[in-house]
Amino acid sequence: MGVLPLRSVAVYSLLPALLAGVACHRGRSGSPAQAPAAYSAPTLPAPAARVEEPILPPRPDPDALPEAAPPAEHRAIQVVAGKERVVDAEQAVQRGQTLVDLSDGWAPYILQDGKAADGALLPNRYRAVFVGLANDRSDGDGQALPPGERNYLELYGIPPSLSVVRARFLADVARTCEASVDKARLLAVDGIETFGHTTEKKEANKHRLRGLRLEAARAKAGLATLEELAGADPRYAGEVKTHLRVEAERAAFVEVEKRLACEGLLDAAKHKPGTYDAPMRSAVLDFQQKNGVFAQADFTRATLEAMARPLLANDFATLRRVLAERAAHAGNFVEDGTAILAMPLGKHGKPRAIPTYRTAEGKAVPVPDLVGQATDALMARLGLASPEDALAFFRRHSESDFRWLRVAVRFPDPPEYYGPKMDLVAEIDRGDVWYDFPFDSKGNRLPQPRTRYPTFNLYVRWRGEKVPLVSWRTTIGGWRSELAADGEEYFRYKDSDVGKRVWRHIVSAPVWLPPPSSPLASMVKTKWVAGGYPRVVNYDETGPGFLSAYGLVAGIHVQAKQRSQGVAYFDNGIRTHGSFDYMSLRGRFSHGCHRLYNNLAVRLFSFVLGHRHAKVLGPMALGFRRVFYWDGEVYEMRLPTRGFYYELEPPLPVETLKGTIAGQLQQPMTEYVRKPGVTYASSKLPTVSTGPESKAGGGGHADPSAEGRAP
Amino acid sequence: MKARGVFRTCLGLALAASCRQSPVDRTTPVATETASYARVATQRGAGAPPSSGSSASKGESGDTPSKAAIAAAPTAKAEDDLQSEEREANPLSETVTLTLSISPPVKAQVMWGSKQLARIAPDNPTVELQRPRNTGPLDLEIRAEGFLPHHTRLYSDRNDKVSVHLVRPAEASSLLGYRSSAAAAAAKGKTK
Repeated sequence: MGVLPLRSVAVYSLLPALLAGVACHRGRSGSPAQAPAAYSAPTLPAPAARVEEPILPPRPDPDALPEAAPPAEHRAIQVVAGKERVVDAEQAVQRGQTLVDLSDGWAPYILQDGKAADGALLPNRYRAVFVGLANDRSDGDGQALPPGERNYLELYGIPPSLSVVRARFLADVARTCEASVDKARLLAVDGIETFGHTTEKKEANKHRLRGLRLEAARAKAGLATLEELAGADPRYAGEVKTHLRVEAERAAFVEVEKRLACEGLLDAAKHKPGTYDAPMRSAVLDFQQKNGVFAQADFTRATLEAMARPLLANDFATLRRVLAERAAHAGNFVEDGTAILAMPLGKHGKPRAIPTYRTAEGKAVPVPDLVGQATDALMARLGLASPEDALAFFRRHSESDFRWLRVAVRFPDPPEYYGPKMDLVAEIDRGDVWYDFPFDSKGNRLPQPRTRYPTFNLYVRWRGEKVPLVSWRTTIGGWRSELAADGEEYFRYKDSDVGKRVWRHIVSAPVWLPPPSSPLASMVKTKWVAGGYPRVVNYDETGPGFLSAYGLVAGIHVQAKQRSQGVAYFDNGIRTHGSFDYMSLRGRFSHGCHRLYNNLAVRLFSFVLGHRHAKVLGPMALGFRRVFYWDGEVYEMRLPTRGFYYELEPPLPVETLKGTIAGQLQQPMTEYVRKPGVTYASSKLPTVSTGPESKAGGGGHADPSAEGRAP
Repeated sequence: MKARGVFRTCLGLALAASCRQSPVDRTTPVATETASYARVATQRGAGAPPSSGSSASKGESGDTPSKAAIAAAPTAKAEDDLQSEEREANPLSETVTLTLSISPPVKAQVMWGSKQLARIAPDNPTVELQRPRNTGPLDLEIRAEGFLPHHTRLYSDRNDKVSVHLVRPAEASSLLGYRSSAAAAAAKGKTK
């Protein structure tokens, strides 16, 4: 068994971040599991002039279907020998091909409406919101977006529709400003340090004074450059190095401004050149979220690399990711090449073994990257090999075509273990776990290094083996700041539930109930409503919605206990769920739940529903109502729904492994711990709250004092 | 207004010293007394989690929780009983009917953002609105003289109705959050 070859597909993969993780582990036994570098770091070939290729006879294309003129509902397309044709979708299906929905009305399977046993429609109400968000038509509540406003929600699990991608291509190809950006300057630095408004001014002044000082020293020494000065007098070496770095960063910053303005993301009228002001921060974040770069408005290397790429190259990478999502759902595939991460590291620096499954003949066959292969097949069938191909595709299709467009494509044959009742098992490996309190008595953070991070693994039990299908980074609980019943904040270890549980219910667009102790200030916000900015109840965190504490979809961990009346299920508040807080999946802690990137959670649970027997329960009533007072007004939070429920029959086993306990404590502390340096009114510790809702906590913003960090 | 947010204030962090539930705080009932039993669990095999002998492969212990696992979950609550939402006659209708009623019956204005959506008269304290389906919720503010402004929401993804009980300023102290809001206001005043 050798190292899993990183296929070229991986470069464009929907999750190169995770695949980058594969690369991180290759040949590095015991090396830290690095946080994924970026959601997408495609290295696209320059879309420059194409090399003339010799004319070869057309290759046989057994999956090409004859041109047809079927009724509208039977139409599909194929690109054959470089030319697009309309084919009969029915014929394609008869030949074992898959129809991939390219329409703007697409939503993942798990967000589709269902049918009750009596045939009645069970509406999945979040579907309309999802489609509106994907099409830049509406906001998270389903209300119309103001003109010119865009949703960049791919990192939140909502890929843009094809019409939105089309609009980006057509707008970007018309821009003539791209050439003005000096890419060499952008890439001359590893990042750009940024500061808050006040510090930024001070740093700018410091830099100016340092420059004057160094310049004077250079002139006095009679040297031509500062580099010569550093070489001639080591006392200046450090300062010169800093000065030149800042100079390079400032030069790169100018290019960033040009690039963002060129792309229409930075409003030059509102931005003060050279400063990291609010319009700049907003533009950088938009750029990152538009292009799938994992960062929060910081000028990371991945951000600068993305800015150095041609506009159309980034659009093409987006298109690939969008199509990968469509392909994964059309094929109902989950395997994305990450299964290797579920394999143990080899001894003595040897790479991980390739995960395999047994065929009927007893042959060991590698677990395929079906998402990658299906995406390749889809791209090929659409004739999309370059940004120019994509541009041509979007030029020949008007926006109205995306009301119906679908493509007939042959996907890879599913492996033998596929079927409607797969013996799936989910496992959460907590990795390295520290129970010790992470601060000393003075409040200094104590080192708690981890080399193994929590992973979510999905397996299929097949022919006596547990075959890994995917392995993704997830979160586990840890030390968190919590508001206690006495109104004071303490630290508390929020443990993830270790042991064997089951998923009995899967919920799409789940609702999270804020515990009664939730601070009311966060439950009110101002919002653009019908020509004004009134204060309204904040439903972001409760959902249903992509910003919900449970993300777009959740699997509820319950403990099954045999009772005389039958099997009873107990809920300890733990869920495996999607998360808006995508940065938390890079080494931070949750309140006990296992977070996944929203798009992966959607894929995972759609896959589970497609390969297990599941009953559609539909929208479940909640009837939650909380009336509260804030700042002289009365607010009423109303949550009529819990979400759209599915019931797995039988439930799916999910086990959370204990992991490797590091440090002194071998059991988590169950009491509150006072925060170092804080004076408390009472010497008595309050009782900890144990409500299931406290396990989600929504993510909120990162609490730097309590969050663990990747080394 | 963007549909997405950056990162929001952590719900578990801010002060809520007086966040006790008031009588008007009707939170979701959580089943605590009885466990949620699988309806079909008593039928042989069906509904029960797979165990050795079912679809789980031999050698696996199935999903019978270990003693340790049980001990580790002493706070687990019985899974909530699920109740289907009331079915609509036509869940695909183009419009929905939203009904708002207030008590006590007084003269009131119903605001939607900066727009006055309706006026309520004491003799008919109910407003019925027709809205296109799935066009987002209506975040409404009800203003009535002698009462605190009251914010509520009606959903347009279904036929929805809400009854609002208006609160007089003198009754505000019984509301959830009254003390913390007052404390926050006092703190704000101090910093000024």
